[in-house]
Amino acid sequence: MCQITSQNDVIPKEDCRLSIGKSCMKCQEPATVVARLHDPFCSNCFQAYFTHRFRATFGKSKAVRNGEKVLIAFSGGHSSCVMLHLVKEGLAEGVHKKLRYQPGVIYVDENVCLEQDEEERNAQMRKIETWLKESTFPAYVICIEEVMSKCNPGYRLISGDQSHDAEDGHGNLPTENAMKEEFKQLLENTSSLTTKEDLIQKLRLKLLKQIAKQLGYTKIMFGDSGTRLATVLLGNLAKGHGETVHQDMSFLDTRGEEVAIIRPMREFTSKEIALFSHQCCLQPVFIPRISTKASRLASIDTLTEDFVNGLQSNFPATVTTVLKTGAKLTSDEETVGKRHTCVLCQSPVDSSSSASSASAATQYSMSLRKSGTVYSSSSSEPEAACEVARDDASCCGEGDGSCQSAKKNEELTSADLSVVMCYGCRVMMRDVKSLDRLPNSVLADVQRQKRRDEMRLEIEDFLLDGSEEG
Amino acid sequence: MAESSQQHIDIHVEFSGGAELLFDKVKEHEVKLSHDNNPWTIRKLLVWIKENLLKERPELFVQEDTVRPGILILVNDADWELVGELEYEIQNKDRIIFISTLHGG
Repeated sequence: MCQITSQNDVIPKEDCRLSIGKSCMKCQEPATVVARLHDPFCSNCFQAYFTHRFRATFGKSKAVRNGEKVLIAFSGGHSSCVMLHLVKEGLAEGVHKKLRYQPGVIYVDENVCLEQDEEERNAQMRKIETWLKESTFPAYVICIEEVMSKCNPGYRLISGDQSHDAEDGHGNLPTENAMKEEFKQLLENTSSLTTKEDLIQKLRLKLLKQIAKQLGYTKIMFGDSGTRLATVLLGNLAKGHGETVHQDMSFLDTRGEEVAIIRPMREFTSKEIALFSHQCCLQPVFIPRISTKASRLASIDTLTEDFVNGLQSNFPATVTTVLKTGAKLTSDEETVGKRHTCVLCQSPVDSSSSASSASAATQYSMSLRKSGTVYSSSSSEPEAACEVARDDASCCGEGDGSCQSAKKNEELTSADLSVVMCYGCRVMMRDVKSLDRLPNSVLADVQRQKRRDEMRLEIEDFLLDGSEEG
Repeated sequence: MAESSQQHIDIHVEFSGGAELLFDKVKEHEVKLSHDNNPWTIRKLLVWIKENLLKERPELFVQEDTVRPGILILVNDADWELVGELEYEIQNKDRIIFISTLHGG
């Protein structure tokens, strides 16, 4: 008997009853919001708490220097709108402890991934442009398909600073349409929704970094909420991106050389953000995504999101617990600096793993499956299999990088990828049918990395071993 | 509430954050709930919405007898946790807002 009752107690459904009719924990006015775990707030106190917490995130980390150029990645959703609103407020004259960086704002147009009717899309774009203009910051719009571009990606300046206008890429329609087609084909060539979502996300990030660099921004600000980051963290563990989860969810993400990422909204749950947005009467623009209206079993992301939200509704500490735990993880710092970075996500590539590691085993069984033959015992080493494949695709021997033969692009094999991509991205690539549909910039990086490796191999005997020396 | 002599109660229901897609993209709905002896609770309203307003994919809006986790409910601009969640008795002229906080709506 006892046990049955105690089991029922585990589900904290009664907790909600405790909140009924509560007054604000700070000023005793009637509460309108339950934030954090179970804290009731009135609207004013909630907004003050929210704003303070947002600014404290910057204060604590000291990641953004005075006068630094920060690009705000704006998607139109609740979180982006709140973030833009708070930055704008923080920069207003007369605010106590004014924020001291120079923001710009950018919107990535992903319409190419969706099939929307023209009218709807135009209405969305109008709303987005209103947001961008009202921000009063330099504002840009860029299309996701620009990632396929061979030269600098082109963007559209909505408002502000004209000085970079000259750099505006091609702008003529045929190229744009061609890139649109290429991007569509890349997505069509991708079999699962999980990979599609990931690929779009990775390419969007790559594009944003590229454009930020081009425009002279040193940081990109993302509006990922704590709930979203918890989902991403658990999802990434499932997708093979386990090694970099701490970077994926940290406030400051320094992967990639020139442009870092900051995530000031990670302190808030999606619920708090939606409530704040509602209270401030912000009008977020709803833009459908590729996963919109998909069932919860459609992809790893949607399933994880469902899992996190389901837990969160009964256990409000879920998101913070996941994030706090994630923050304790680190990757193998010693080797990180020495490893290649992944051409897609700029995480360190785990190619140095030992022959008996799980990733080597996976790779071996993949290569077996692909070739359909059983290797004899003499060549059973996974490295041997890779070596063979790499030799096949090797260039004309001019290791100095002058070899630009297009032939190699066609022969991009999964074995090549093992050197230039991290495990998670390689897993992703299994779902991409034809690798040469990847953006040119990625393919170029692959080739560059490959040539460097070949060169390194050739001159290896003449190199001083850094580790012995140091 | 239950003793009131009204024949029906009028409420304003709103969907946003992508939840409106399941309702023919209509965000705001004026709803007349016919009065019977049992008070209208959110629990009952959800069933009514599912049967009368929802146009497609009910599993994306309701799960079991409650709303799908990740969809936020506000009653007269206040968090529904403060008014008793599913057991809240809906009053005439209430504003009930459903905000989807899910990625992609």
